[in-house]
Amino acid sequence: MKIKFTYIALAVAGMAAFTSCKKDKTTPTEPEEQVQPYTVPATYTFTGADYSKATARVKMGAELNSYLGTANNASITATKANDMFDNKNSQFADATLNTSGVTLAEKTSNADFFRGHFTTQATNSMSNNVAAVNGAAGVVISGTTKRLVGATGLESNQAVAKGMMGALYFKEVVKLLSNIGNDDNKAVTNNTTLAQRNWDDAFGLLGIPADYDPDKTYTSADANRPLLWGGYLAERGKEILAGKTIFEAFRKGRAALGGKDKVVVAEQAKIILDKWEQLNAAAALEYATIPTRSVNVGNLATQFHALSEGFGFVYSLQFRQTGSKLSAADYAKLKATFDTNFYTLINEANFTKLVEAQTILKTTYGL
Amino acid sequence: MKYNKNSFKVLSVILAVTVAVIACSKSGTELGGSKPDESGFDKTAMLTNYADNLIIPAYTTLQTQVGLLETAVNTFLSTPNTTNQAALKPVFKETWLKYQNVSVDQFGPAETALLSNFLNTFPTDSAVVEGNIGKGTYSLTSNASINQQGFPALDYLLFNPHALTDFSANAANRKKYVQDVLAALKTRVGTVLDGWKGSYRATFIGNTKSDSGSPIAFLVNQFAFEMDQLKGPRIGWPYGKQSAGVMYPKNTEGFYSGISIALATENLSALKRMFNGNGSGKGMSDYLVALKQQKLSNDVMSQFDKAINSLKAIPDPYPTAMTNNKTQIDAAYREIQILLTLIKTDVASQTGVRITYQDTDGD
Repeated sequence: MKIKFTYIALAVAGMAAFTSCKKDKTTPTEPEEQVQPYTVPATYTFTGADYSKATARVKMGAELNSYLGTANNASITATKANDMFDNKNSQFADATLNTSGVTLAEKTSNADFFRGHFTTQATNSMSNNVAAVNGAAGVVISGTTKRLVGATGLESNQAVAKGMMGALYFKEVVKLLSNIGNDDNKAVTNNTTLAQRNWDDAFGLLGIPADYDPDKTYTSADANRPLLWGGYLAERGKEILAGKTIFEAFRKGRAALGGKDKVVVAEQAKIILDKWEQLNAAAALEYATIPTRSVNVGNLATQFHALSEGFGFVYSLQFRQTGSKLSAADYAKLKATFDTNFYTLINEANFTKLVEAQTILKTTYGL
Repeated sequence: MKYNKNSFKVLSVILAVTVAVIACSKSGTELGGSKPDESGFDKTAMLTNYADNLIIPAYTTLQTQVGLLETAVNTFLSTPNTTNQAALKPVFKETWLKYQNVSVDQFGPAETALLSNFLNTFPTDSAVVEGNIGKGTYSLTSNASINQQGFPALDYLLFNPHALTDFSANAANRKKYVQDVLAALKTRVGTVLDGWKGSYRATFIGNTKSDSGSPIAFLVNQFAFEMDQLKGPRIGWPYGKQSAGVMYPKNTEGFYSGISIALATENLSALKRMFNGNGSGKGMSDYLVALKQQKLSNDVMSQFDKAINSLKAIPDPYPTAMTNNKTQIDAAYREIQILLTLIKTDVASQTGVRITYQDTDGD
């Protein structure tokens, strides 16, 4: 790892050096486009940086997920879930969210898909006292673990949680960072340019604190703990150094915007998008693998839970960047596998479909 | 192991050459996997020892033994009487004991084949087994059928108290089921052995890293996993350790033939042989020494002996001992627990291996 990293660092340094040489020789730029000196801070601390709206949406998503999760032991309603989605009727326990002026719905693609799962989860919650069977909702229990699943074995709350990580947060980041080169980086309002505000917004959607530490183990008691994607940087992204890479790129890119260094901004945006997508794939891969491990075979609670998360993460991958390494044909295969009845998937001899999904994810993303 | 002496010498030469080649190519390139540890320990030699002197021979022996079992089963099925049942029992026991030698090798081809699931999921679901026999239609390849086959199903079918009566009249379906289960078992063992003899051996010895998915990580994880199984389903759970003292004697491994403790003892003895590379100087225990963990290595080895001896103090059948030998069982449970902790925490951390089989999902 260390050696590899040094090489990458060298390569990056080389590229930077190379590009700056090129710049000097070939670009007779207007004075305001000249690169200014800038430094990259160790934390995401920049004058005027305000991503409170993104943070509010991250916290809303987390609250909505935990509400849907209570269906395990209580009856829930689609009305309340929809209220949270639309930020109506002050449903959030964190009162600042109720008055934040933003909603999840306004930025979420395929809202009907999610509203459908609110309804399903509410219906399923009426069956949280019966055992699940193929064709009917209920709970699967293993030891102290209890999972509420629908007729096909899917936990609707996981479909929502992980699906929305794609349909809202990642999709927005892709939109913001893919276009960052076209955003105005000159006119300053409240100490920031449009490009800087959009960059900050993208950072906020990651759900990590400004002083994020990729090596720290955050506990659920920590008020500053990473949420949603932020949590997955550690949960499934350790081996690909997702937390370190993405956090560093966000700081570098934001600093480069201040220095009007378009090349570095574009580079960092690409690093973020590629690594984020790889993180999504790594999560999907893990959840395609867990159900096939010998230790989990026969343990429906573990297998269905993993498949439910996998379902959400594969759903999320549809919001990948244009020009992604994952082909439409391979994506269709992944989607078809996770759309399969889970009882069928786990009983398939040799796990043919899941193994195929594992192979696609491994080969495409170098995992 | 005697039988391997010659092939071992040849192997050492091959190995030496391999190492030399690797060493040469190393000086040329900077990046790459296999190099002796800074302590000078040759991990490739250790893995080669595991593959050639422990794992592959264990599967080969099991395969041979399954052949003997097949003969004994067929004799019993053609003439199901007390004599043939009595003659079958030691063969059956020996085969299950041989399985315990490969139980720890649940990775690579065994993992793909789900060998431990299909061969040794206990307790067997005797009601479903009887249902299958009644219907005469069943699939032994579906993953849902793991508790309807393997050794535990054979244990039930061949040695339950009414087995002789069951096989006496109108038993065509029942006999066919036994043969199908045995055939499925034999096929799976063959598949795994072929996998090792094929490409997997090279994959296994060619990766000396310790990250997740590496052979060293597989070994350490499996040591810990087997210890968890010993503490849980093999010894602790049936004895009520997870159920406030409510005992489940029928859930023991080898309940019908009454060989639970023999199986557990063999399982742990096999684990010890694996841990110290069968005393070859090329085992995990030696790797620990090379990592300057002599004391830990010694502690683990002596704890193996304590745990094995404490298990041996419990008489079979285990369900009877649960009432009559509580002191011995409690003592064995304690020793097992100490060994489990040593392996799962100390050995894992010193070898840089993450225990991954218990995926504690945050949400």
